[in-house]
Amino acid sequence: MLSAKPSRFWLNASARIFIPALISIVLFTATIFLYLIPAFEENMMTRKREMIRELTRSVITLIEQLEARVQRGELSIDEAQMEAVRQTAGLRYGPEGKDYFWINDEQPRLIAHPYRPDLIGNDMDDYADPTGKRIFVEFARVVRERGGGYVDYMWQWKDDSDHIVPKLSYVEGFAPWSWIVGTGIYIEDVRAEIEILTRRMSLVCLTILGFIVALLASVTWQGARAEQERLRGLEQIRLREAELAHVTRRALLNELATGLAHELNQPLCAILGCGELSLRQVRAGRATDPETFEALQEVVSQAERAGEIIRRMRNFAARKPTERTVCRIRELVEESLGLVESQARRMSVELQPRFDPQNPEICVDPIQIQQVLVNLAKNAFDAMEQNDPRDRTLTIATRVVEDFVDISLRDNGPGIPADQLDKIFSPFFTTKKDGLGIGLSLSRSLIEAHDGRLRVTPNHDRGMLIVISLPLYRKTA
Amino acid sequence: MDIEPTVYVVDDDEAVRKTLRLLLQSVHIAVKTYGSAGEFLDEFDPTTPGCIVLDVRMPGMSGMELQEKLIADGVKTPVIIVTGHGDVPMAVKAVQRGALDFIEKPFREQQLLDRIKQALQKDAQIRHGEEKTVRLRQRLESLTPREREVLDLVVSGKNTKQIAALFGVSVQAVAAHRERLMRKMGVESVAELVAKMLEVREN
Repeated sequence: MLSAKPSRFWLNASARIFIPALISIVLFTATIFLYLIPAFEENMMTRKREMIRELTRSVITLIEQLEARVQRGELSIDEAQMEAVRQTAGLRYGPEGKDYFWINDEQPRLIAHPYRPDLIGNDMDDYADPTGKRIFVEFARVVRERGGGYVDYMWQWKDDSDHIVPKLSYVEGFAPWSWIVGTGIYIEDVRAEIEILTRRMSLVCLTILGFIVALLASVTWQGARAEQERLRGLEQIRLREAELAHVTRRALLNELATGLAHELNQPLCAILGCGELSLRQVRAGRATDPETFEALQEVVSQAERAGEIIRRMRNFAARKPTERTVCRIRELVEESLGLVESQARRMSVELQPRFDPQNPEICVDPIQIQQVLVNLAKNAFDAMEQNDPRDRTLTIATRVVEDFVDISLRDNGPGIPADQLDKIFSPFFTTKKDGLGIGLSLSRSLIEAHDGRLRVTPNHDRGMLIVISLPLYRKTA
Repeated sequence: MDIEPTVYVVDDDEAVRKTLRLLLQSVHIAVKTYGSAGEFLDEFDPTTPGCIVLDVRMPGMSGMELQEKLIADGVKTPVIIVTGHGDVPMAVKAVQRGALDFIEKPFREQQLLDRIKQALQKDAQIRHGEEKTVRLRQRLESLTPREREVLDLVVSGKNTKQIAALFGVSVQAVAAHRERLMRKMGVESVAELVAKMLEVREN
């Protein structure tokens, strides 16, 4: 029973603590990696795209100004174009200052490129990236169709001609000169930035995760310790209760002792009488008479009965560790009635047992349940003391109700005033002159320790009805 | 009038009833056993001779209550009380109320049989005494009113002369009444007459 409880605790803890925590961590991580980072990447790409468009637009503006000067006659077209190439080739931006602009014309012939001077002046009609895209033809097409736009392709990494990477460029045409100006960003760049961000976020997540795990561990550990304390406390209460039960059981037995001695007198009386009779028969040579046989048989069965009475008493008085065993309800009730029978006779109480034909099994500490029944029966006897001796009946009935068996005790004493009904379970409450007021509260806690219930209600006519419900024993459980 | 006396046993314990039945049967005493006072009262006929063996503690009507009821009903059948451990004060009370004796469980066979024989004897005596009383009453009723008056005065110690003076009649007349009433009562002397009248008054 005790080993089952910690595992239930862990089951509980995982249901209450681990699973919600796990779910929130998963949600948190998923939000970061599946939503926030992609959104950030998207946003960054958008900004970069805007940036290269704006940058290209400013170079176009520069060329427009040069063209304006040509229009005003300040420069010749060649001078203006040389100036444009010179200025554009010198423009740099980007984190390392290595991002650049290039110029080609619509033919397409490369006019300016800071890192590929080898290609300047070449017709780029056949120039394709490793995927087979004819890049400059594509630039010319975009400009021809829309005046400008984005193109992605593979290109060397900045000034490193051996390193070919994906690139996104914006190109815009300058119609008066049939030029196309472009600049691009490296998608790797964005990826690198995103990677840095991802790494940083991962670190943050891991830190938070570690923190949460530590927190959970501490909470769980404290919970486990509290649970252990609670179990130890419960165990102590159980021990105390068993102790109290034992002490009150001894007191109960003391009260029953006179009656039980009387009870023992009955078989002794029969044994003595039948024994003497048998002796006399034997002396008279009538040893084989049926009367002798009958008398001797009575001696044996009454000796057994006496032994049974003593066994029952000793059993009841024993200080045994509380121990659940599977037993039948009827035998349990009969054993308890056996303990109070003599008291009932002394007090002229008629015991009326009524057993459910179903005789189910229950898993209980039989001594404790007997104690409860003996105690309640004795209370009932005391309650009926004011009745006429011919009007003292205690009915004890068993009844199976769904998963429980009810044991009811119905007396026809004066009952308990309604205003005291809620007090009768409080410890030390008693209506008796010499009562301690432990019986009923102890009875209830013993029954509740068996996952049962003890209810007290007034009868509809008079007296009290006490019902004990105990769970039926399930073989699979 | 020679009906065999019966021992009535009232005890709620079956083993005790059986033991008493076996014991009494073995000494050829008729026995009837009852598990409760109610069963006994249903069947008991006070005119049959015998005695009652009664357990003090019984559910329903106890032995004490049964004894009380028998006294109230004027039953004269002797009662022997059987008690268990610790019930002696109760038994003493029963004896004070008129029970013949009490006997404590567990008892020896001889003890019980002695008590029962005593009880049956007493019962026989009572029944014999009652018969005599009945016969005396019949005789008394056969007297004339004057004879009855004379008888009362004789028993109270008056002589013939005093009675004659009291009634204002002759001594001879009183002597004749006296002779007749002595004959009717079946006595020889005044002393015998006084004894008989005492017996009547007792019962």
